[in-house]
Amino acid sequence: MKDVILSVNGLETIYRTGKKEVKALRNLYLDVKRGETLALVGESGSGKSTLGLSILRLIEPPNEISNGKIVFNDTEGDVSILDLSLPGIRKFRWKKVSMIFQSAMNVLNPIARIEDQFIDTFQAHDINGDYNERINHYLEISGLGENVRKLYPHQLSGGMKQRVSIALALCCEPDLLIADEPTTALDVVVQKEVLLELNRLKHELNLSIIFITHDLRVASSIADRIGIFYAGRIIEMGKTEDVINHPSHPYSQLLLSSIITTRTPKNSTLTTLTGSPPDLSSRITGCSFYPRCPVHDVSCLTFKEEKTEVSKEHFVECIRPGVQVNGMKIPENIRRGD
Amino acid sequence: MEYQLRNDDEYSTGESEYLIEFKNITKIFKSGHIQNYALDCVNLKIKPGESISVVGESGSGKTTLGLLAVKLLTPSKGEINFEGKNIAKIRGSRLREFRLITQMVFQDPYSSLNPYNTILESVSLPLVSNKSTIEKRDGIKLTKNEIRKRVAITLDRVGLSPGESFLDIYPKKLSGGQRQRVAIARALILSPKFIVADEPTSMLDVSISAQVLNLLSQLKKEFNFSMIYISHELATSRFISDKMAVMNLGRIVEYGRSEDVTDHPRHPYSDILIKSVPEIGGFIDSNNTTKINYNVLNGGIKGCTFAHSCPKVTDKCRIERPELQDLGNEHYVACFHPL
Repeated sequence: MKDVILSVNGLETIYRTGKKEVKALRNLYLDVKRGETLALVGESGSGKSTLGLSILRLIEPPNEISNGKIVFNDTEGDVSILDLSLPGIRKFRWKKVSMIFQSAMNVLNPIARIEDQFIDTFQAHDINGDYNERINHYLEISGLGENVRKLYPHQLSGGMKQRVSIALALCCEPDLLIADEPTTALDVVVQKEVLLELNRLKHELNLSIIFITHDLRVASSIADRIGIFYAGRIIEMGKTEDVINHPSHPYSQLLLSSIITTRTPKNSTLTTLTGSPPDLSSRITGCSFYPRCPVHDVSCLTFKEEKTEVSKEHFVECIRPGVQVNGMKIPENIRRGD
Repeated sequence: MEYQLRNDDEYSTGESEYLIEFKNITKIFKSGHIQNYALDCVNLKIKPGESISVVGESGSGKTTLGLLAVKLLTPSKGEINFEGKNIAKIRGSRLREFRLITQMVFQDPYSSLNPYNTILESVSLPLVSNKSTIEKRDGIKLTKNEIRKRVAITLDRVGLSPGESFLDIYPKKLSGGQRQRVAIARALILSPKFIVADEPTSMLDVSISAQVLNLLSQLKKEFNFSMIYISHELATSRFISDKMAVMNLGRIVEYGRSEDVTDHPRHPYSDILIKSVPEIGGFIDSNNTTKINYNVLNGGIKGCTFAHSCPKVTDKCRIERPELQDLGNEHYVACFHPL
């Protein structure tokens, strides 16, 4: 087996509304390693959720994946996801790659008991055997008791529903889990529990996780590697400690310094990003971050969006990689104690 | 007795050192036979120009507290004094006066603005619906032009400039951060003395939420209003507020200057809340495994609300209610075994 479980090559996904074509992903390259947690961080509209949906081929017409290749590396060899037949992709989903959706509160069927939701999932994916044991097992590893089996979703708290949707995503034993903002709607205490739970499950089940979030703090607490998304591309990617200690793209630097921590001095002015992301329905020339970048110059307009390796496995898409934005107050970091 | 008398005097003249004062407030929501104590005997005082953040998890009663403060709810027991006067029973013209000086900013900027109204219509609504009162107060006529002018100025103030260019567009053209600025402009247009902001940044991206926080803290200095900032996010709460009240199941369990509470929490619950905040590079303490028991029904708990989950619990905690005790330095904690 290769140590890369999923590789995305030159992916382009287009959304169509009326006459407009929005390029949500622009020529995207990405490798996910076996057994790692890769966090994808970006503002809303940057395309990070679209990537998750594209990997599972959940993009429906008139929207389409117009270009590129997604290869999943399995024990049985390489599978090209975009070339699978419809029955093929249905077998592929959940058994190989599954997803926790953004609003976990709403993914559960409100009029079915929790155990029936599991049975539905098993039947849809041709899983036979003792359902009872399986359901108990997956509820247990997600930190829930058997007592929730007979309950309906409205009888559960937000955190419990989130755990049920984690259990549902894991119950067909996938190799890769895509978690799309799984903790955004949760309180901090429950968020921490769910994050630690995911981390534990990763080791226990030898999972690979793509963790999608807009919160760099959450990303840096759980991920092995971080990819920063901007305007449909990954503009910086590297090991978590490299990205948070030495952010090389001006956007990453601004994103990091706009974070408020419990040590941010009071009555200070927070660094902010001005402007808004580019309109992805029009052609982008040069660097997509150019209009918002505090350290831009004319040469940025001719930038061809190429990757530069600034240190080992740390890539950045900037014409002057490592350029420092002046006056950045990057919050004091807490070293990761593994 | 003397203390009592002095208080009575204060109320008769309507003067108080505090802008708003919660006295033994209890709010019960009934569903069938179940009585849910959303707030259980809460005391809180806010000075003019002071901002207080109320933090806690969902179900702790923080939003109920905010809604009571602007009289969108009425308490089941206790009294709320605004500028020394009890607002429980006010109605008619006095209620309208109260509405002029208290405002609210809601959590979700996507649902708090009417999609069929232009920004001008949304932001001017407080002016239009209080037209006669404002005309009497300010001694000018609120013509259409005057209203347009005031709205444009306010939009400029919240960073939507030029304000003129935003007047006639609809919310769908605005981003989440811009919408929240509109919601803040709508709260500011009557120059209120008091604003309740209910999780105003929780729906926004991190970078946008920094902008909104900068704006709020700058406006606070400029307009000198008091604010209740409701959030479950301790880092932003600490940044924006002077004081912090930590709530657990309808009670305030810790209260003090926000940096004191976040940097040196004394209640075990506050401690867990703070240790759950993700920081850059990881959790402060990922070994802390105290689990909160969420199966506690909030039906008038006799002892401490946190007794079911507290690592330091003793028999006393289950029977006797801990009251807020002064630890000095304006720091109060309701715990028999403070950290």
